[in-house]
Amino acid sequence: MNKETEQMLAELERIVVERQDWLFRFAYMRIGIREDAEDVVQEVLLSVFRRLREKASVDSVEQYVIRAVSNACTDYFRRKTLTIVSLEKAGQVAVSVSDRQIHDEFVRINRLLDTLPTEQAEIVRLKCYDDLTFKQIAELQDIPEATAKSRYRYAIMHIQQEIKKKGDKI
Amino acid sequence: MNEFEDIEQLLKPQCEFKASDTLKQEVLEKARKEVRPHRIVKMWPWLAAACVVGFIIMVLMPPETTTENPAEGNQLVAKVETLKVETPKAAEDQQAEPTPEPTNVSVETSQPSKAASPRRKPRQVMKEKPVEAPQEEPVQMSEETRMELLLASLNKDVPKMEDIDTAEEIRQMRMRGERLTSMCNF
Repeated sequence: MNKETEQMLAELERIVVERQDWLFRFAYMRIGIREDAEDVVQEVLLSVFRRLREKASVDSVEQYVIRAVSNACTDYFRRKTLTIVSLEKAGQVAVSVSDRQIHDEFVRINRLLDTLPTEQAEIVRLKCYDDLTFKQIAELQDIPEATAKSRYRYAIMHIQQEIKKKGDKI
Repeated sequence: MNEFEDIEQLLKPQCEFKASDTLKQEVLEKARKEVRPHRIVKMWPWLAAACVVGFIIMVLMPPETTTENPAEGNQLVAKVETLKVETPKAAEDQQAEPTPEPTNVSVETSQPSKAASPRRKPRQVMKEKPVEAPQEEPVQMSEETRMELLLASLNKDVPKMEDIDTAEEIRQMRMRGERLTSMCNF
């Protein structure tokens, strides 16, 4: 193995250490199954490695990671023949304590975003849960930044109204 | 406005998401595997091409026995001429005696059969001559027949110099033997 390849592998290792938890959270909050989410993360990280071999600069790799994981999640739902499982039953899949915790979190967020249109729910996830800026969200969704901001505001107001209706049950 | 921030806070992650420990190892292992095969893929066409070229060279290479050198052919001609000069007496004796019919060997060599392999080694041909000659040909061959034989063998397969030398030695030994037997008869 030559020096250049070793450098690329070291770079990949750095990206894996820095981003694997963030990527896992991103994928899990959309897929809801640990194994599948980790498979998606693996796919994304390997595609990043291929990107590194094509001598792409590091800044574009950072942006590439976000787009790759988003596309991978979309592809996952396209590939997978969906079986409808209720959130309560899905909770039985989680075994360990940490798995149960993250699954409860998944259920909680999905209940909050359940009543929102898909585009608004996705922008809320990207902004609140994945800590992306409106600029990054706009680039990822291929929409103007102003549209992303307005969708986000509408989504928050809608959630606020829903919470008021339920009387702070959550 | 506070309520807006509260909702945002509510939507923030409440627990830590940890990917499994094996994820990093698996990714790095797969990445290493992706790097490795490329070198082999680049090497094998060259190896295959080298093998094919080697095989073609072996097939097209001429056999060891054939001599396509014209200088060697000229040497053989010169040798034949010297043989002709050295044995004039023997030729005269043979002219006095009735010329023997050409033997099977001479016929075979002057008119080569089509079934015979063109790449037959000359060494084998020359070895057969001294064995068969004393049985079927008690008297020496005429000069013409011998020349024909030599020319035919030159046309067919170029014999080696060593074979001609041994044939010449055998012939001389046979002549001495005949002289001795004639002396003993006296």
